[in-house]
Amino acid sequence: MANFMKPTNRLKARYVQLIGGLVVFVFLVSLLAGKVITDSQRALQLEYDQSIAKLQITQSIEGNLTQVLFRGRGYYLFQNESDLEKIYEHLQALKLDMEELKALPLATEQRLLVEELELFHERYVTEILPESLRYVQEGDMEGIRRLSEGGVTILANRLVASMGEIQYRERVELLSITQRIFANARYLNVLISFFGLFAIVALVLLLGRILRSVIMPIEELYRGMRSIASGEEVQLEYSQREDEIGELSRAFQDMSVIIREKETAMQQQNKELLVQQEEMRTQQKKLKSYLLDIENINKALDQSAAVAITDAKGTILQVNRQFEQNTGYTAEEIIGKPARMLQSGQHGPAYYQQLWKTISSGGAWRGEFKNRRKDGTYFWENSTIVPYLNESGIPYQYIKIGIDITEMKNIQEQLAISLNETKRTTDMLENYNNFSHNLTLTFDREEFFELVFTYLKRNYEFDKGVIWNVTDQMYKSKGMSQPFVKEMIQRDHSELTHKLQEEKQFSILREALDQEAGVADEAILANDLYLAIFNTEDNIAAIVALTRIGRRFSHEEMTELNGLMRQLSIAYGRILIYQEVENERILNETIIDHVNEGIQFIAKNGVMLQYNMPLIDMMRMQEVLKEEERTMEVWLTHLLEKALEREQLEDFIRESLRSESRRGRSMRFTMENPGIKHIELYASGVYTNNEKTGTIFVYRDITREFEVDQMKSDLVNTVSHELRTPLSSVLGFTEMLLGKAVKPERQRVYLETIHKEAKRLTVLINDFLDLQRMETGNLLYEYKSLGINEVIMDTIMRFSHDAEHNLFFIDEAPRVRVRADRDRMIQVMTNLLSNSIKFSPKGGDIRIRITNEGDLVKVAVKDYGIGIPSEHMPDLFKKFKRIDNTETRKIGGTGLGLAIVKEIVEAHGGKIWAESVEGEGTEFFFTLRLEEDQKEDGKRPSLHSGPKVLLVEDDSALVLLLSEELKSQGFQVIHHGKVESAFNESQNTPLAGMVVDLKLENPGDGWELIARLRASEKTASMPIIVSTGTEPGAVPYADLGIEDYLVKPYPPSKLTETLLRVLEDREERHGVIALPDPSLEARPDAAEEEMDEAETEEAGRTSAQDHL
Amino acid sequence: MKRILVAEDEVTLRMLIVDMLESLDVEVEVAEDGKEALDRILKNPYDLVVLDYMMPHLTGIDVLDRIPTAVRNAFVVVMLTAKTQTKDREDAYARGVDYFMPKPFSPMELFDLVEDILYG
Repeated sequence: MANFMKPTNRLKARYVQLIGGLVVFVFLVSLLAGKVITDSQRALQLEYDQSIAKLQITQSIEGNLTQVLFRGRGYYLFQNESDLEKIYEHLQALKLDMEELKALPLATEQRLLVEELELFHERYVTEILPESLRYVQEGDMEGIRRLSEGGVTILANRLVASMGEIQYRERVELLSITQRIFANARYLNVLISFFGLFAIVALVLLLGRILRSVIMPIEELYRGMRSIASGEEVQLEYSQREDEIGELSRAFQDMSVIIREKETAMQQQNKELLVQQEEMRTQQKKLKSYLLDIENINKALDQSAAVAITDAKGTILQVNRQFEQNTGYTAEEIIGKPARMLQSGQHGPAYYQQLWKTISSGGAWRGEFKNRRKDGTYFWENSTIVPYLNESGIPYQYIKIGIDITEMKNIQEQLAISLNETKRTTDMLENYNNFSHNLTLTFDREEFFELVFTYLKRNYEFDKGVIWNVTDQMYKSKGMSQPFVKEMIQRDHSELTHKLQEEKQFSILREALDQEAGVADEAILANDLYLAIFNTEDNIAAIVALTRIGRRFSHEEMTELNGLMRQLSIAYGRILIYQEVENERILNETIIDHVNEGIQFIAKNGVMLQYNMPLIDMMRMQEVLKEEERTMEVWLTHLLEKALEREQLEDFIRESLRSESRRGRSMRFTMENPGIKHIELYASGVYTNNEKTGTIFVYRDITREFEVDQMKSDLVNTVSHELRTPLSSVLGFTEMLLGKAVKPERQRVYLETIHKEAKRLTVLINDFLDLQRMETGNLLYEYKSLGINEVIMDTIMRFSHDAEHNLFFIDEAPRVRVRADRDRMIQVMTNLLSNSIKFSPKGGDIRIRITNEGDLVKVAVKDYGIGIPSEHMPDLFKKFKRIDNTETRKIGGTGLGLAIVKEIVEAHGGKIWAESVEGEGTEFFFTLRLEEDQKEDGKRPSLHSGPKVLLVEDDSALVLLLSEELKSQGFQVIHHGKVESAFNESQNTPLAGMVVDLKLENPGDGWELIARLRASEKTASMPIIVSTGTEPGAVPYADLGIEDYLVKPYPPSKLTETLLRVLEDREERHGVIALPDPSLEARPDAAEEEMDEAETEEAGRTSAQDHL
Repeated sequence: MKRILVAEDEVTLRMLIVDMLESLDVEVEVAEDGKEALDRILKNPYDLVVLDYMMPHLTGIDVLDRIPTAVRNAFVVVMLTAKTQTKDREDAYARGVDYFMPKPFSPMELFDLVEDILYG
C-alpha cells in the first residue's frame, strides 16, 4: 500500500530555480540601474563642481582684478609700498586663478576671455605696472592719468564685467544642473516604482504558484486528516503526483489506512479495556466487600473461632479467648507449649504428617481434629491452618483457626446412620419401581426372566441361583456352570413342584458342599430357597432356586419374596396371554399374507393401518413401506400411479372410504408395466358397535380370468365372422338366382359358388366342432394298428388333381405301424398338405418324408413356398391365427387346420413343430410312437442306405403296394406322381432304377417322361421298368431301352423280381452294384404281413380296376 | 358415370357384389385387401365405397382412419361386416361409416341402398 517512489519532479528544485532566477534578475537590474544612476550623478556633480569652481574663480579673478586696480590707484596716490605689494600679491593670485580657470572645460568665448585676461595680465605686469611705477617715481601724475586713460582702466573694467557675465552664465548653468538633478531624481523614482511593481507582481505569481502546488495540497491533506479523524475514507487527488506532495499524499493515504487499521484494533482494544475496566471495577467492589467481609469475619472469628498462632516448630505463641474456652487452658498456661499436647490420639501419625507436609510447604490445611481439653475430655474442632510466609516463601509462623464442632459431629454421626437406612430403603423402592415398570413393559418371556433374575441378584444377594421355565428349558442362572444348570433343570422335579404347589415357597438349611464352602475350615451352612411363579391356571410356570452360603434368608426377605412371586405370577400370566394373542396375530397375518388377494385396511382418517404382502407385490407398493406415515396421500399416490383408470379408481376409493353403506362395492381397473394386469377391487366398510372404523379393500388379480373372457369373446367374434362370410355367399347368390334374371351360364357359376361355399361352411363347422370336442375331451379316437405309410400315401393321392404342386413322397421307414385313428391321421395329413399348398401359392414341390427315429416315426412335410415370418411362429398352432396375407387369404381355409392337427397329434402322444425360413419355405414335423411290439423288436433299421428306386405312379394304392414290396427287398422308394417332378428327381438323385406308369395325369404321360429321361445324359442308360394298364402291343420298348414291362394288375412281387433280375443283369454286364444288401432287409412279422397283404391286395385290386 | 369401389377380400363376395351392381350404370373397381383399397381411394375419385371390415393388412376402419377428410367427404361408405353387435355398429358410425350392412347381407338390399345413395 505504501508508495515510496522517489519524487522525480521535486518541488524544492523547482522553487530554488524559480526564486534564484528572480533574485539574480533583480540583482542584475539593480546593478545596471545603480550604474546608470551613479554615472549620471557623477557627470552632473562634475559639471556642478566645474560650474562652482568657475564661479569662484571668476569671483576671485574679479576680486583680484578689482584689488589690483584699487591698490594700483592707492599706490599711485599714496605710494604706499604695501599697496604695491598687494598688487603683486593679487596679480599672482590672478595668475593662479587663470591657470585654474584654464584647467576647467571652457566655452569658446570664455576661453577667449581667459586669453584676453592673460593678455591683460601680461600687459599689466610687463607694461602698465612698470610704467606706472616709473610715473609714480617720477611723480608724473600726468603720465599716470594718461596711462589710466590709455584704456587700462576700461579694459580692466570690461574684464571685470566679463567675469560677472561668466558668473551669471555659470549661475544659469548651475540652475540647469540642479534641474537636471531633480529630473534625474524623478526618473529614478519612476524606475524604482516600476521595478518595485514588477517585483511585487513576480512575488505574487510565485506565491500563487506556491499556493497552488503546496498550500492547497497541504490544505487538502489537512482536510484529509480531518476526514480521517472523523473516520471517513480518504482518496487524495494529489496522490498521483510525482513530487513531494504526491509522496506525502501517498504516505498520508497509507498512513490513513494504517491509522484505520490501528483504529479498528484500538477500538477493539478499547472495548477490551472497557470490559477489563468494568471487570476491574467489579473486582474492586468485590474486594471491598471482601475486605468488609474479612473485617466481619475477624470479628466473628473472635466471637466463635479458637485462634492460635504457633512458630515454625509448632510452639504456641498466642491464643484468643475462644481458644482458652475451648481447651480449658488459660493463655499463660498454654503459651510456649507445643501444640501437639492437645492431640487426642484419635488421628494417626500419618494424619499429622500430611498436615505438616501441607503447611510447611506453604499450603493451607483444612480438616477436623479431635482434641483433648485440659480436663481430659475431648472436643472436635474444624480447623484451618495457614502458614505465614517470609520473603523467601518459607513459613515462619502458623495460624490455626478452629471452630468447635463437637455437637455437630454428634448430630452428623446420628444422621449418617439414619441416612444410610433411608437410602437403602429408597434404593430398594426405586429398584422395585423400575423393575415393576419394566415388567409391565415387557411382553417377552426371555426379557421377563432376565429382568426378574437381575432384580433378584441386585436386591437379594445370593451366591448361586437359577430361574427356569418348567415347560421349556428357558433359564437364567448365577454361580453355576451351564451343563450343571441344564442337567439340574432336566431332572425330575415332581416332588419339588408338588411341594411348591402346596407351600408356595420353602427354605432348606444344609451343610455347604465342599465346592461351595471353598477354603473355609469349619463347616459352613448353606440356605436354599425355592420359589415359584404360577400361571393363570395356578400351575407352576417357573421355579426360582436361590442359595446363600454362610448366610440365611431372613424372614422379612422371604415374606417380601413371597409377595414378589405373587406379583410375578400375574405379570407372567399376562405375558403368556400376550404371547398367545401375538402368536394368533402372527398366524392371522401369515394367513392373510398367503392368500392370493391383496388386502388393505384403511382407518377412518385415511391411514393405511394393515396390509398384506400380496397387496404390496400385486400393486407394487414397496415404496409405501419405506414411508414412515402411510397417510392417504402416500399410499393413494403410489396406488394410483400404477393404474390406467386413475380418476375412476380414486373416485371409487374415496367414495368407499366415505360411504356409510354396509354393502360392499367393487370395480375393475387395469395396471400396466410390466404387462397388463386386470385387478378387481372390492371395498367393504368395517363396523364396530355400529360405527364405521375403517374400510377393507381387497385387490384380486383377475388378469387370467379376464384373458380367458377376452379369448372367448374373440373366438365368438372370429367364429361369427368365419361363418358369416360363406353364409353371405350362399344367401347372396341364392337371392340373386331367385330374384334376378340371371343368364344360364352365370346361373351355373352361382350354383357352383353356392355349393363350394356351403361345403366350406360345412368344413368350417366340422372343424370347429371337432376342435371343440377335442379341446373338451369329448372326441373319441378309434385307435387301431395302422400302417402310417399307407395313410400318408393315400392322403397324397387325394391331392393328385392339383396340377400346380408336385407332391412327392420319400419313404425311408420300413412298414411302420402305429396305434392311431385312421380318419384322424388322414385329417392330420390332409390339413398339413393343404397348408403346404396354401403356403406355396406359386406352385412347386411339396416333399413328404417319413423316417424312423428310435421308437418314433417322424413325418415331415416340406414346402418351398413363402414361408412364415418368425413373429408368427409361436401362434402357428393357435385357433384362427391365420397368417394375415392376401395370398393365403385367396386360398382360404378355416384357420383351424393346424390347431386340429396339433390336438390330434398330441392326443396320439406325439409332438408337432415347424421350421420355416421366410421366402424359402416351411417344414412341418410330427412324430408318432411306434406300436409296442415293434418297439420290442428293437432296431428297425432305417433304409437310408439302400439303393433308391423312383416310382412314378399316380395310383396311391398301387404306389403303396409296390413301395412296400420294394422296401421289403431293401430298396429305398421315392415316389412321384407327375412327369415334371419325377424327371427333376431323376436328374438330382442317384437312382438304381425307375418304375414308370405310362398313363399319368396331365401334363405329360409316361412316354414323355421316358423320352426325356433318355434324352438326358444322366439317365440315358437308367434301368426303366414300365408299369402299364394296357398291353404293350407294337410299342418299341426295346428301342427305348426299357428293361421290362408289367401289365396291371400284377402281383407286387413280380416288380421286385423283375427289378432284381434287371439289376443283376446289369451287375454282370457292367459291374455296377445296385442291389440292396439282403442283411438290411426288414420284414415285418408274419401275422402282420398276412393282414397287410390282405389289405394291400384289396387296395391294389380296386386301384387296378380303376385304371383298367 | 358413377364410380364404385368394392373392397372385399373374399373372392365370392366380391363376385356377388360386382354382379349385383352390373345392372346399374356404374363403373365398378375392386380391391382385394385393405391396403389396395386405401391406395385406390387415395388415387381415384369414387362416389361410393363398399368396404368390408375384416380384411388382410388393414381393416375397413383402418382404411377410413388413413383417409384425409377432404378425400373422405367425397364418397359414401357402406360397410360390410360380420360384427353385428350394437357396440360395433356405433363404433363404425363414430369412425365415419355412413351405412352399415351386417353379414350375411341381402344383395338386393345392398343394391337398393346403392341405388338410393347414387340416384335417390
